Amino acid sequence: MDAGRLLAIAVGAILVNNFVLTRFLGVCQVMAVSTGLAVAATLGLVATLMMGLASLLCFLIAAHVLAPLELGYLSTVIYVVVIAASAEGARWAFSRLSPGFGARVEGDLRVLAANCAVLGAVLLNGRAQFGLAESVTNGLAGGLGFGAVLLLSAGLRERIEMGAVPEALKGLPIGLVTVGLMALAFSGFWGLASE
Amino acid sequence: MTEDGGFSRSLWDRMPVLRVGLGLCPALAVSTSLKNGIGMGASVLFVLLSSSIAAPLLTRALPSRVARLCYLAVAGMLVTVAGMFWARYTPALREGLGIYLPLVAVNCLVLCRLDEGGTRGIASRLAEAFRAGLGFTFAIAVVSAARELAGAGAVWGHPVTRTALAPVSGAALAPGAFITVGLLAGLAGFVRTRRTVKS
Repeated sequence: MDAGRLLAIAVGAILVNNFVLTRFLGVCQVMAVSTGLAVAATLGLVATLMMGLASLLCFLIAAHVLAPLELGYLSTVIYVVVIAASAEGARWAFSRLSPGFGARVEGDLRVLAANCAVLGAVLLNGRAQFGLAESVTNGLAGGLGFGAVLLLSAGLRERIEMGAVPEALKGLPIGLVTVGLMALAFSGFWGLASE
Repeated sequence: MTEDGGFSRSLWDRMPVLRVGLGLCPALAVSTSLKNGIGMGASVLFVLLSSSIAAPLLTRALPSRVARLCYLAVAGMLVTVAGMFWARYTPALREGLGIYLPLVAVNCLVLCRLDEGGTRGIASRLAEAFRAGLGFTFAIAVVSAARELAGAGAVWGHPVTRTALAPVSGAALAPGAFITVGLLAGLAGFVRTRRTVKS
């Protein structure tokens, strides 16, 4: 596997085609996280792990089970179930390895078990016909990009709370406009990694 | 129709996208044209109605973790069926909806059906699902009409303002999506506070 291509995919997924800012995946979480940087950082970390894991498992199942049996039309159903089951598995593993951390990320894992960002990563891998290394890279990098936007908007949210926002725009509307302006700023990365 | 003040009132209050940001992801992504928006709204309505029948059956029969997994599988099947239907009759729409149609399976709106619990009767669950789906369709139609008008100077593919005003191409792109939905949500909030003050 060509390392340059993997780098291009990673830069593409983090900056150029950021999952939140250009593909609208995980916007709900970005809008919901307003309780500080630590919460956003944990969610971003767990999401990165889950998106890498889901990309790996779903690629293996698609390539070695669904394709030989010609069951491609069932892929959405299988992906959804695999992602939910692997989130459950991750919850179990974390609670065994470190009960404190496990309890902290339990809510995050419940959200990620049925989440646009995770399923979106898997579906995008399938659409782009990525191989194993490419899929996992895209999943992990997508998670990092998602985490970066979570952190940025949690930080911005803390500032906005203190500003004089018009009554009608408080909460969701100003959050969306802010993310829109962030997307405009990120559009400066267009052309950085052409696929 | 309901205890909380009539159909239109509750439809407005429940317009989920602009009110609380439920189901934002498809509303932002496919609202580039009114046709795509209506197609997505119809798909969501179909999935919501069907899954509101499946949800109580599953929660009554199975322990909650297993029921959740089965419910996700059912939602996955429903979006697959919707995708096949669009691919057969309007391939252009299926292409326009892209990965966002399968993503409806994990949409907050659809998952809410399960968490509602199986306590109420089937008719009231169907009515609730119908209202949520219609509210979503209405919101996404407003957003996509606004974006198509601003971004391409057209509505439903017919040129409207193209000759008089130059289209703002940014409205069709990602930043435009966030800002348009944000401003429309602000407008909805403004109208809501005015109505509350009046009543």
